[in-house]
Amino acid sequence: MIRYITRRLLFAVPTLVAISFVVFALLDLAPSDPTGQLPLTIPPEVRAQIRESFGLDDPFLVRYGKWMEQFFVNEPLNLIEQAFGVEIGNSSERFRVISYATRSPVVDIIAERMPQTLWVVGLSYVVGILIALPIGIISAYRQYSWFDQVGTFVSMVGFSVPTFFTGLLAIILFSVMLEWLPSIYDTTHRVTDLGSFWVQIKQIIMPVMVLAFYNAAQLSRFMRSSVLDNLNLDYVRTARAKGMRERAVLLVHVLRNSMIPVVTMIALGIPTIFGGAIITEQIFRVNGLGQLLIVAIQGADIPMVQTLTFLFAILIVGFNLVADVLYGILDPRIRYE
Amino acid sequence: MRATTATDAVLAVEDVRTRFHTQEGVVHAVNGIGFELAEGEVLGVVGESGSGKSVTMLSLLGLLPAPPAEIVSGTAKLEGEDLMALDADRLRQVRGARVGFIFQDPMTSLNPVLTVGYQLTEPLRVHLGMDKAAARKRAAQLLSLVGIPEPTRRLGDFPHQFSGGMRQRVMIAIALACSPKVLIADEPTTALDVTIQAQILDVVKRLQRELGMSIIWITHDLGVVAGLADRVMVTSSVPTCSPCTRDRNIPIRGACCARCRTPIPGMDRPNGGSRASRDILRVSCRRQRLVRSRPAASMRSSVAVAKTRRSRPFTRDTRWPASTTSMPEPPVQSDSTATNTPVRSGSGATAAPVLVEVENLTKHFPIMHGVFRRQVGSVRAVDGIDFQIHERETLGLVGESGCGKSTAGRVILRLYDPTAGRIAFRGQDIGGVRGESLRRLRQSMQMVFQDPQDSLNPRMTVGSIVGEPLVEHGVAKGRALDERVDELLDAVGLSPRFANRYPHEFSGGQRQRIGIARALALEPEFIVCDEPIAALDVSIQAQVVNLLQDLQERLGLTYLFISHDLGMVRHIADRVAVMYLGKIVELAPSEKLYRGPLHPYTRALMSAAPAHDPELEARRERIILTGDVPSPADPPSGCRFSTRCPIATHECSVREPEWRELRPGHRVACHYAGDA
Ligand SMILES: Nc1ncnc2c1ncn2[C@@H]1O[C@H](COP(=O)(O)OP(=O)(O)O)[C@@H](O)[C@H]1O
Ligand code: SF4
Ligand SMILES: [Mg+2]
Repeated sequence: MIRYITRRLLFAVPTLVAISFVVFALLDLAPSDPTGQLPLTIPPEVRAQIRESFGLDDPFLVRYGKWMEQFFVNEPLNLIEQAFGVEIGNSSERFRVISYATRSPVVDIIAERMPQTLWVVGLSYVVGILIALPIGIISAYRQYSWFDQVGTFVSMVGFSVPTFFTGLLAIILFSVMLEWLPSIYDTTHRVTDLGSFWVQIKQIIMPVMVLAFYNAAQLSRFMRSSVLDNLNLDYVRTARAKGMRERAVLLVHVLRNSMIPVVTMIALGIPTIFGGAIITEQIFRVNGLGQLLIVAIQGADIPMVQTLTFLFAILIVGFNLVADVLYGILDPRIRYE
Repeated sequence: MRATTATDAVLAVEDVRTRFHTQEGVVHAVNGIGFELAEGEVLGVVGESGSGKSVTMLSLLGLLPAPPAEIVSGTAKLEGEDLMALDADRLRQVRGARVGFIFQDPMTSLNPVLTVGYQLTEPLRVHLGMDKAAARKRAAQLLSLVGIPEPTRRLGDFPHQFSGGMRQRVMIAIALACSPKVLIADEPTTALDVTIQAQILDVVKRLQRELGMSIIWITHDLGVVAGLADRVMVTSSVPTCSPCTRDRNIPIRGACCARCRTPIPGMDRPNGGSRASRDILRVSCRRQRLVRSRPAASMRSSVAVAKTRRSRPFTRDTRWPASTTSMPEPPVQSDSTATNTPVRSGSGATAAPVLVEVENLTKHFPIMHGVFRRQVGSVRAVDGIDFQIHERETLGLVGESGCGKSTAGRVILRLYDPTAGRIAFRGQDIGGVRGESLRRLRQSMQMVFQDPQDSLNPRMTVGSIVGEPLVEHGVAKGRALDERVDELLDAVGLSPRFANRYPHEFSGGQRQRIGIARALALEPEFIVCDEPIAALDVSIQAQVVNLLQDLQERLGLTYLFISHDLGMVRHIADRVAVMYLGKIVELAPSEKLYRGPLHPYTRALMSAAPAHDPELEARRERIILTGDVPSPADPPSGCRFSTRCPIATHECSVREPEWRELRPGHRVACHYAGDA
């Protein structure tokens, strides 16, 4: 297993280098200019100076090399310094990836936005899983029962109706008509006591549930078919022939087997949490990573887009490995070496 | 007062009727089956697949999926208590405790993600209320009872870490965990190799003696129950007569019943047997009260029935009586069953020129390992074999699964590149040909595969499947193509009308005919048949083999016939090669080999294949090989067979026996062959 992981990690390096090159090159080709957004009154010399300060006059490969150094050496060092409160070398000399739009280091902005996304999108993912699994299991076990029929209908609705629709619907219903919940997520809100905790719950519940509904719809279908696949297998008949109670047949024998593909799918879905549910974040004004990416794209903030895109790529490659490893752990027949 | 029969019967079953509600309508799978099982008795249940054997037993214990199955009627008194009237929970308490079950496929009937120990302790804990420690102790005892070495350590292993035979032993241990009164075994050895089957039969016989439970043994192979069962019941899907019961003192000669009149070729009866040996059982064959409405077999498509007349010309001189048993491919020629063919060219067709010759043929598959996928070893699938196949001859290649039969066939056809050795076709070395010349070569060498289901593209019509090689090689197109396809379908006994249909509309036997037609398309001289009948029902096997023989005669074909079934090979092959772990251990003309096998492995194989004559079965000594086939990645030193050979000496494990011609035309690789 360790060997396998090592090998996969070694293979991940060239993959990521290739991805970073493509990301950097593609965005570099995009016609954009950090001074483009500046007022027209600014004289050309000043613009040139600004460009020079971003290192934009260097040849492409030099800029790519610098970006790689910033991304893989400088920023990780900064993070370590922050985490442990130490100073490694001359940290003020280290140049960083700077956002065109805000002129502050990209990584700092991302770190600032991360918690919102993790809370809202992450929580919705967890809630979605908790809803989906039991529904999937019961639907499969009682195939074609009214529970299954209703479940099928609701999940069809769940993943065919986009979140911007369900989100708006929820806002109209609960914020505008019933006035129970706030329609905007206030990121500056701090939980200090029971009262503020209640406020936090009220503002988080709508985005979380809208996203959870969407996730659960897909996952419960997947769980259902996985359980169904297993219910008809020979070993289930063996378990019954041994005189096992139905509970044990379902929860020990069938569940263990049908969780294998489901867990893999859940792991593969985790990077999308970090991608932030872009649309949902926009609707509920959660200023998380998804929103950050949208704004950066609109503002042609190339360093920001490059960094975010590449971060997602790393996460996807990483969680692919996690999914494979989980698969190997759950299924004793798979042996990695 | 209870009826006398019920008192001494452990299990009395009466009038079981089960049907399935399917999309095509109601299938009456079981139509009023009844039988009794006495204390300590072994009841064999024999019948073709689909005749309702499994469904009957599953019905008794409520193990059928509720829709689509419906149990219409029936009683099953286990020690006087009617199982079929019990509620779900009471019935659950019977299952596993008083009735144990063993299923057909040991590969799928154990849960892959739970340890064997867990699966074995489950019934002990549920039915006997044992605690964890006690259950583990008992589980280890059970494993050693069924002959698994190091039982305590193996409790922590997962099913995939056991071989097929070992898994079936585990299944037996599970079924016996709570000392049931009745053990129901549903084709428990069908999926196993013959030598492993012999081991399992041996274990069951021993356990039955020691524990004295009653056994219901379901099988489609009469030979298997011949040596084991006290009585045999035959099930049939056609409502004429079933079941027949018989006593042990009446020999089972051939199969039984009006429907199952066809004897099955076995070790003891090369060509279906003489008239005497095919005597139909004189048995008390009481007519059953059967529902006529829609027996299971009539559900099969009318396609099959329409085909009957077409296939007639090709079975003129039926060497091996074609079956009269099956609906899908009905009687080909029922009156010629008595004709007995003279034994085929006894000493092999040595006069004919050599068509295919292999010398030291070797195929190793690399095993990769480590971070950079270095090659750390190799699976020696085929490890230096020599033989010649003469024109118009059939060479049989037999051996247990995994011994390299199929690999050998594929290397000869150059579907794999040989690792070493020489392959000659018509004297020309073809081991290294590539590209265009390989393509041309393929025209004269073709393959028929084992599974007619998997080898036909489901999205292509039969016509395009058969015609594909013609188009590929640019042999025919347009009208000529259509004509040729019709001709080919006709040759294999299918109506040209079927050209527009898809493979799934055909039965297994018909699909195999399609596969044969495709192989014939380019008019090859040489065909490798890789277990062409292993996936088919016994009755249909006969027809496909007859077809192959007929085509051989008419078209002058040469076959390499790969099979694990010795009986079948004896019937079709002129000469037979026996393979073990990548080596050929014995090669001889068919009759010589079967009359006087020289290699200990061949002897064991033959003794493991059950004879269909119970008298013979009872008289003969069985050689039961111990252990499993070693891994071809790490074969034993010296003689490959030395780890399982009953007469191995020290010499055997250090020196590899040479491949020598002991008698004219009879080659063998064993130090001690011919000594005894
Ligand atoms: N789940 C099912 N749905 C529909 N038909 C079935 C089902 N299971 C079995 N059958 C039918 O019942 C008949 C008997 O099957 P089975 O008992 O498995 O035969 P055997 O054990 O003799 O091979 C067959 O015609 C088969 O097609
Ligand atoms: S050489 Fe020895 S081990 Fe091999 S088959 Fe002959 S007697 Fe058995
Ligand atoms: Mg069956």
